Amino acid sequence: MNPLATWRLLPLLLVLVLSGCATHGQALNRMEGHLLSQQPEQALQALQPLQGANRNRALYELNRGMLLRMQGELEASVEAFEKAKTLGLSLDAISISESLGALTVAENVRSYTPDVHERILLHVYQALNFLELGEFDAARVEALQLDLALRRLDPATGRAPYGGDAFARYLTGVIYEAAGEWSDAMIAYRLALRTYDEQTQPAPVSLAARLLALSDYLDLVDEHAEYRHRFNGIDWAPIDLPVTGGEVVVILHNGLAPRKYERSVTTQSYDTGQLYRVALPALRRRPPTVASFSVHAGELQSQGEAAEWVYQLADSALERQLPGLTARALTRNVARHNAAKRAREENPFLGFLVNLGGALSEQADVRSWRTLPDNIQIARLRLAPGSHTLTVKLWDSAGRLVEEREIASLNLDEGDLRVVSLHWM
Amino acid sequence: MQVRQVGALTWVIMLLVVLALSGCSTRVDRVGAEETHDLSGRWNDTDSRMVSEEMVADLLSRAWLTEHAERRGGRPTVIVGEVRNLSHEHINVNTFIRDIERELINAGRVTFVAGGREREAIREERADQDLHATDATRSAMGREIGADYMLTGTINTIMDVEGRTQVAYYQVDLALTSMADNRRVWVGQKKIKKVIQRGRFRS
Repeated sequence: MNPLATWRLLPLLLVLVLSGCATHGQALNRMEGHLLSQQPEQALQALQPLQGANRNRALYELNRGMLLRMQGELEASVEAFEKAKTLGLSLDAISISESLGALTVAENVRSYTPDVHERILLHVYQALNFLELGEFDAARVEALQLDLALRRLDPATGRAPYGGDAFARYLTGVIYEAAGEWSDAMIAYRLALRTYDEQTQPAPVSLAARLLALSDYLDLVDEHAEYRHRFNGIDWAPIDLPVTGGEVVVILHNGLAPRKYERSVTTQSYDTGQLYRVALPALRRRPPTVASFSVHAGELQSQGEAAEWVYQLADSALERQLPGLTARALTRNVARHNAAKRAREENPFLGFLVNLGGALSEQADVRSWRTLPDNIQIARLRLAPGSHTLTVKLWDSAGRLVEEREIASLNLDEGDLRVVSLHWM
Repeated sequence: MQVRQVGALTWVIMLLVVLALSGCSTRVDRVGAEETHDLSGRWNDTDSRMVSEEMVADLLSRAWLTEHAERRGGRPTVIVGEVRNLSHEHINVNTFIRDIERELINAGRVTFVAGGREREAIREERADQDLHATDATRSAMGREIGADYMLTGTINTIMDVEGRTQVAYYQVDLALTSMADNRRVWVGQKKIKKVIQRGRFRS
């Protein structure tokens, strides 16, 4: 190999060595490490260094809101999620400078804009914050905002085009039911069922039971008959007014959402030494250790059911984004090729630097709301008024007990609804 | 000459871009409730103040006030009860209640008494005085003025969305209920329509 060829191959070697350097990701990795050790407080501290970056501000607030929730600081979590909502709305508008940057420099120069499923789940987690705080009117506001956000996506049907709103609709049904707004609850449950069906996911039995009870209460004779036929054998109780007893809804936020990582291809023109590099994100699921859960209160128990499969939503979102990401990656290579060519014509060393710098700047956008769970499960349990001690048992796929948590002194009055969350990484 | 033409063209393009973008920021217009718009915006302090002023003015101009004076003599005593936020927005209802209280008190035509958590705090303080204050300065228990009427209400919204244009409509309903016999003596309603157009571009 002649010396000139060696000189031309030097950029390729440097790119291969240097492209593995991580910056922003390191802090997130530390955060995740703490989370996997069930230490949300330390995870929150690890997140702090990311506070300053404006283009990642929404992402920072999303992660911060979730971590604060995990350590029980619900009011602070509400505040963080509200900031994330405001930022998310402002980021809907197009930034010409960021768009140009994404076409010429790297995808990462864009401000982080939450995916559709992340926006839906933001409302879900904010609603859960309010429910757990006992602020039902505020939770109802969140339910209305969610409906508005979904209508913005599809004004005709008010549904997310690629799913992700099944559990959200189910939860809004719970909120309306708590407010005694039976017809709104019925509509929400109905929409939830339709999304589960369309996504070919099994609807939770507890949802079927509420559809049976509400269609009966609202005298929707044909619809009730249809549900009876479809959900034959499901145990449901008619709605008695005034409502007797209370209800506990336990929600398990299981595992951590899939993580994005970079997959890249780098090649070099032997003639000119020009580097061509395409870096795209890919997803790696981290299957949670817990497969299911159950809730126990004395003799009574309820089995948890899968209600949302967040990992599938992330997968589907990335699949939709990939054509655009690939097209922009190719455009950047063309832009870099031209820039390096012009620089080489002026000065070979300048050309070398432009070539190298351009290739190094090509990095996949691996940002995502990493503190979301892998999946969400729900269990509902009707209890008599009084003080109860709940036990939540987490099971692995082989049926072995992974963890047992006690929720002491849960006081229920007639008609009370209590929502309890358990985050398990 | 050619270089100068290119430079001038670049400046013209940049100027057009700046002018185009400057017109794209978020704009909110407050319009009359009677006008037809399919959009609405966020509740703010101006709305809270405007609604409370207009509704309290309406409340104090109605027949119930003179009827009360004829029937029971003196100024009626009013307490503000729950105002529920049933809207699409997280509205700080407390500031709205404060605005109503301020308008009621400043009008000087009703006696206003504290309720809710504030009343609990006052009672705690009175109980504390019972133990720690001198006889001369102590406020005795059981001397509170019972309210004749309670003011309650709701804030509702109807929202509509089309592309980058948001549609909504606020409706604030307040009702004054006689504590003695649950009679509704006054019902007030205030509507606000707003138009919010979200910018297509940002910096």
